[in-house]
Amino acid sequence: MFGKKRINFGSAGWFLLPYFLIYFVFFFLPAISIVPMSFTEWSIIGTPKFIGLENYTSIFSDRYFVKTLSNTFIYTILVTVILTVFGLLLAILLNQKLRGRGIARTIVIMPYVISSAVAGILWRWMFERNFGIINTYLQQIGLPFVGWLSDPNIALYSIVIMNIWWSVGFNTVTFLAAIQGIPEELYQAAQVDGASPFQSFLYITIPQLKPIILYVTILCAANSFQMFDEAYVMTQGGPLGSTTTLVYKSYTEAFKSFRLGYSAALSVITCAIIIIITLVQMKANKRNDT
Amino acid sequence: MTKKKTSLFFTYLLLFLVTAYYLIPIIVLVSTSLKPQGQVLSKTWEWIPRTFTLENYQYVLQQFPYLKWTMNSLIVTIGTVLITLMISLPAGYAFARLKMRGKNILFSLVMLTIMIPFFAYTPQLYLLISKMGLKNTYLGLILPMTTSGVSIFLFRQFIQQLPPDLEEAAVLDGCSSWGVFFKVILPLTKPAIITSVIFTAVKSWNNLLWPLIASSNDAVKTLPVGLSVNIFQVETGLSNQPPYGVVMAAALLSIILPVLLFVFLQRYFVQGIATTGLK
Amino acid sequence: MLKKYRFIASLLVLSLVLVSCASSAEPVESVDSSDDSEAVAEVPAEKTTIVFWNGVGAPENVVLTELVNEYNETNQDNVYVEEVILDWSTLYSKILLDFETGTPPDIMTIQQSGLFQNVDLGVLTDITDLMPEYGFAKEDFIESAWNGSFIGDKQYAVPLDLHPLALYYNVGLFEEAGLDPENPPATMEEFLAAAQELTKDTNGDGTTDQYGLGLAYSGGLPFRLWMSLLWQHEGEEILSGDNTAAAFNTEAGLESLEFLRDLVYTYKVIPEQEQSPDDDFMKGIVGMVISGPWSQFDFNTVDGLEYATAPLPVFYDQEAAWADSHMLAFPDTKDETRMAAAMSFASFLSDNSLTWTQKAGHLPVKLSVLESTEFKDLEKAQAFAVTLPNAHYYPSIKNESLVFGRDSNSPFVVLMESTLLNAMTPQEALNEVESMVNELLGQ
Repeated sequence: MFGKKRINFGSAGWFLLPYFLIYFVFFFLPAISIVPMSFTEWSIIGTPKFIGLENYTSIFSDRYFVKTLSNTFIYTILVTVILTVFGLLLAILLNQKLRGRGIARTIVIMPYVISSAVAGILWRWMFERNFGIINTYLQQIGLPFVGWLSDPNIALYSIVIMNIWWSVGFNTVTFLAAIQGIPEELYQAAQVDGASPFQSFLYITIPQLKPIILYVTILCAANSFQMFDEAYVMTQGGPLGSTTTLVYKSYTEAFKSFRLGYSAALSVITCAIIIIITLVQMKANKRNDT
Repeated sequence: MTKKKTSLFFTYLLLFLVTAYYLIPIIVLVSTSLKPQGQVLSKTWEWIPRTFTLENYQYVLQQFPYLKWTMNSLIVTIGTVLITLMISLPAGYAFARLKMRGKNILFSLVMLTIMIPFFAYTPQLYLLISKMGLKNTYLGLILPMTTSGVSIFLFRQFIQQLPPDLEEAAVLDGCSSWGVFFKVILPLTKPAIITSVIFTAVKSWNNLLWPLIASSNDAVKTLPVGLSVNIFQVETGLSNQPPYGVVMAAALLSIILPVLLFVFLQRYFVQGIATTGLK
Repeated sequence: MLKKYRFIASLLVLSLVLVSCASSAEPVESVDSSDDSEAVAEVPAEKTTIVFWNGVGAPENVVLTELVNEYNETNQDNVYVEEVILDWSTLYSKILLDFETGTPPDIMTIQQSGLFQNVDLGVLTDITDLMPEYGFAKEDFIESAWNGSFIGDKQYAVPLDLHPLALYYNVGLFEEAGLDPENPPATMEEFLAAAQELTKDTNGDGTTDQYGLGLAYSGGLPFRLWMSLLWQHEGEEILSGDNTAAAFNTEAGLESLEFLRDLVYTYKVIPEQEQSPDDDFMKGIVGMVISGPWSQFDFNTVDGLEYATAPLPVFYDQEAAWADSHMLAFPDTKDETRMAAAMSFASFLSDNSLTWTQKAGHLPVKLSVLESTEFKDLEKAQAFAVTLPNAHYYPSIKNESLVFGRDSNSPFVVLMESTLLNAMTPQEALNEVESMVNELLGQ
């Protein structure tokens, strides 16, 4: 890979031990139990009752399941693509030696620091259909009111808009950090060879950032597949189920309906899908490497 | 020359537009927090309050044990960040560079933490924490939050991106693997460490679901729980609307510390790796 | 090199600080009078400390906290109440978790609608025999509230208040529209006429910017209003007598639903896709709003908003309005001393429910309070008081949270969203939701 024989740096065991101790007790033990639980009926109190595959069959026969699944996928794809591209462009912009850069950086990260509850309330308020802030201005330039959160065909995309505002800071800062890791000599050499800024972006920045791009897309995909807070605060999964995602459904099943077995089955399905997406992303990345 | 000027102009224009998109909701936030309730709910939106008031801030600070909540959040956040760094940095290094049988399977296990929604196992986790006597303790709030593999994944990716020459040189100089880790890897991964600190801190600072279930007691109640239980309700469709002015004031008070943290840390993003000794 | 070690050293120092912080927070066993909370530390050892879960949610929870403090300062029962503030959804899931781990609170708030489910799961103590000991008697209470605290023939809760729906109207807008604020609408005709008068274009730009009524398309209120309209038909019910099947897909159910849809799309007196009617009422965009007594809390914060209340108009045959009730329930802790303390505290809250009414707006259920002059002085509460004898709860069923849930996927929310967003005809929506409800009841 590096053209040299790799030197053996030693064994990994002691480096991994501290993490896996905590991992085992506080993640693995409770988390793995959702698999057996998904075959039971349980409402926290008492012992779970084994019911075989009933939870799974009733999930797949639910009339809203396909809708929920497609909501989840549309949202995940949109958010992952936009956030990755936008985050990278923003990072490059904010890496330029411009005046006011520090302030601009702070402003871009600020929304991410606001809790999802407050961000949700703020946007729900601005998105209000009747005489909300955004619609008032639309009306003034002669446009009709838009049902940002109340139109079943639009609500999901409104959540995407809010999410870009709220969470692109994460990607930007990650990329910004990674850009600092690119040796400046590479750019200097390219400049000597007469490369344009765009060319050095394409042939130096992008390849150098590859591991981090993979990191960001995987994280984005996993996070947006598990989108919950935004829908919980802004739409409660509505209107007409248009913003209900798999994870939203599994939350309400567990904490509103107390059907923990059913909720666990939904989580198992969610997790299986995310694993498949991640494997595909990693495979695609590997293929590009060779 | 003119070409360079126009491109500079467009860069600034872009910077301006992006900043505006980010700034406008924040202006709404700040402006609302300074308005009395009657003006917040006026028929037309006003960017600048007609009369400025600090009553929303007063309400939040006087009616509620706001400082206590902030202290609790601070303790939980610092704890989460420190433990996460201490266990994730070595693990990320090991996954990136070191050899071990079954390493890939172990890494898949780490990735599980990113893939399973937290609340899917919250009830079991709560029952476990209760049995261990960690209910309503700082440790009970911190430890389950440190298992997230996000930092390990970041460090692994970041270290993989580094050229291995320096480490090899260090090994040839007789450094042990811990020596390489402390002397070579840690300094080089500073931007990643900063990133991880920022995100772990923000996530922990704003974490609601777990503290909501695990910290009923006022002694360990964190800021987000205090805000969204004592001061307003998050859920839509409930009987009462949130008092917007108070919500925004409380929100602004709660982001002061994280924003300061970012302002302080972001200066590390200006020095390229070339200036930290890789020459 | 030095810099590096300084970094590591500061990490170590910080972690030491952390450890010392963490160890100072030994497990706080909530039931014992541990020395962790400053307030608890002041309590003499011989006092019985009980844990009270206050789940009524912001902003009303502040009022309950005041009452707790008052009790702690004044009570002669030798009881200290440690209050834990939660919101409803956390309370309902946490009670199951904490019951399972053996650390439930001694007393908690509960909604009448949530009672059956918790009794069914075995969480709550049967207090039928204890009630007379602490001076609770049937004849002191409003009948509908008292009956609501029973599941079968056993009593599980002390009713604290009742909150039925009523009509709020903006006095200023009424006068502007030439309506008499002293004579609020009481029938369907009067209501429609008032709503149409209030709907207008105030700034002359060609679009309506003031509406007669505010009604959200989603959440709990729209279907509660629809249920109230259904109950206003003689002999109509949501579920069949034994609560095993849906009974709302009738002529009356359809008529009520069509009426609400027509208010939006035919009479156009409700803004389309309305999200926050309470906000719009405070802004003066809608002239009337139908809500429970809790809305007063918000409305009173707006200076210059002059409003009044009236009983829910009788749209059909008889008076009826949806209501729910806050109650006090006692998770089964099997500890008689603390149970006695909890009952004494409940009795204090019940006796002082006037404060609760004055500050949080919810209607008292004790006849002595209802008849007191202090209560009669609360002008805006009277409209709700009129409705009390005709208040209807949801039918008592064990999976209440599924059938009467307020999430987008809950049956009655689907009913209202489909109708009020015009995605289905009222008949289609009724058919769809009837099958959803029957499916849920069959489980």
